[in-house]
This record gives sequence, C-alpha cells and structure tokens, in this order.
Amino acid sequence: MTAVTSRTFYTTHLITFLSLTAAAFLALLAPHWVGTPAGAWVIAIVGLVFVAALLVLTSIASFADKVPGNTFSELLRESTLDSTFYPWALAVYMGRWFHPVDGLESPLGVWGPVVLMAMTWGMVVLGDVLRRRGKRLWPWLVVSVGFAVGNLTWPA
Amino acid sequence: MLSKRLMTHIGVALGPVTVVLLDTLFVGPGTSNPLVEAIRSSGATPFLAWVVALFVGHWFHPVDGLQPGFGAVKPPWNYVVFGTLTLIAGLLSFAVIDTRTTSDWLPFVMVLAGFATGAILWPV
Repeated sequence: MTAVTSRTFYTTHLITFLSLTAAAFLALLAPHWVGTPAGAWVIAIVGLVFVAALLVLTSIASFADKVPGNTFSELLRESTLDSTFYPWALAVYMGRWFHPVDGLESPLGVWGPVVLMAMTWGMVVLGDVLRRRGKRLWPWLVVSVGFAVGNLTWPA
Repeated sequence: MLSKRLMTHIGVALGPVTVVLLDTLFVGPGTSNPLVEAIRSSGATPFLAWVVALFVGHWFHPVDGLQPGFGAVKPPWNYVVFGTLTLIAGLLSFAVIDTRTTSDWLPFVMVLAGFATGAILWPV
C-alpha cells in the first residue's frame, strides 16, 4: 500500500468512525428533541438539508464534472465489492421501518438487538473473508437477508 | 472537480447521520408530536417506502452492468417510466388508498415493488 493510498484508507475509516459516532449520539438525543414541536421541526429541517445535500452533490458530481464513477450511486455500488456493510445497514433499517404488521414486536424479545448486532458483525466479517478470496456476497442477497432480519429483530 | 475520494468522504460523513435522522422522523418516541404523527399516519410512510426501496434497488441490483429494462428500455424512457410509476405510487399513497386501514401491509408492498422497479428500470 503506497503512502497516499494508506493515508486515504485511514482518512476514510476515520471519517466513517466519526460519522457513526455522531449518528450514535444523534440516535440517543434526537428522540428527546423530537418530543417537542420545535425540536421536531429542527430535526426535520436538518434531515431535509442532509438529504438535499446528498442529492444535490450527487447531481453536481454526475453532470458538472468529467470524473468517471464518482456519484454516490456508483460509489455505493462499487463499495459492495469491498464490504457488505452499506447494503446490510440500509436493508435492516428498511425492515425496521416498513415491516408488514402494525405493532409488530420481535419474537426474540430483548435478544433481538443482540442477535442483530451479532448478525451485523457476522455479515461484515463474512463479506471481508469472501473478498479476500476474490469473491463477494451478492448485494441483492445481502439486502434481502438484511430486510428480513430488520423485520424480525428490530421492528419499529 | 469532485474526486471519488472526496465523494466517498462526503458520503460516509453524511450517510449515517441521514439514516438516523430519518429513523427519528419515521419512528420517533411514543409521543403525540404533530409532525411525527403526521408522517406516520399520512400516505408519507408508504410513499417513502417506495422511494427508499427504489434507491436500494438502484444501488444493489443483482447484476453488475445491468441495463434498464434488461436492455429493452433505452434512456430517457426508463426515467419516464419509473417517474410515472413514482407518481402513481404517490397518488395511491396520498390520495387513493386509505392508509389508515392499510398501514400495516402497504409500506411492505411498496418496498417490494420499489426494489424491483429500481433494480429493473434504474440500475446503476
């Protein structure tokens, strides 16, 4: 690994770690803020700004420059060659939000989140082991399993 | 202008926070907050299920290099078709279907339909 590649590698992982840490704090605090109308509006507006930033930057990258393969969509697809984390995480949240039964509770009870964390770890490690052997888990399969696991272990 | 490295860093910085914000708005605590309740009880939930699944299908379709409509639908017609389908999904969610009585299964169906549509008509 060259010095530049190594620096990029560590920078990416540092940003990922900081972002996940910020998201974890937000997950702890936001439910309290959203308990008041003013707090809910702040969360909604900040959320819209984040989503708009993602979409606008994607558009800029797609149409305003000549760098190939630099849109979020292309980078997300490319990331499935290296990791199962993003399709898995998105699918678990999708299962959490859009499960088929109102008021659904995990049949695993309090063990649901524990099983989910264990499966997340297992899925990431499995993806990494396969990648080192020159293979990968199909992203659609990761999404399908993640959606089912999100339904069963962490329904909202 | 925006290198792949920079876009990756922006993406990993914004992505997790965005998902947590969406989770707070979709789920929230068990309060009677008008905004959160409006999101949950309106047609927003099935429509957002469609949109989220459309993007997931767009990103994580089964075959690398997949062409829209298996090569049968040329751009920009694939955008026209899934744009029309998105409009229909919005109309069904907000105006046609009574989401108070279908709140359990409709978002789930939208996920399946959105994922298939994103994968078939809009593969990256």
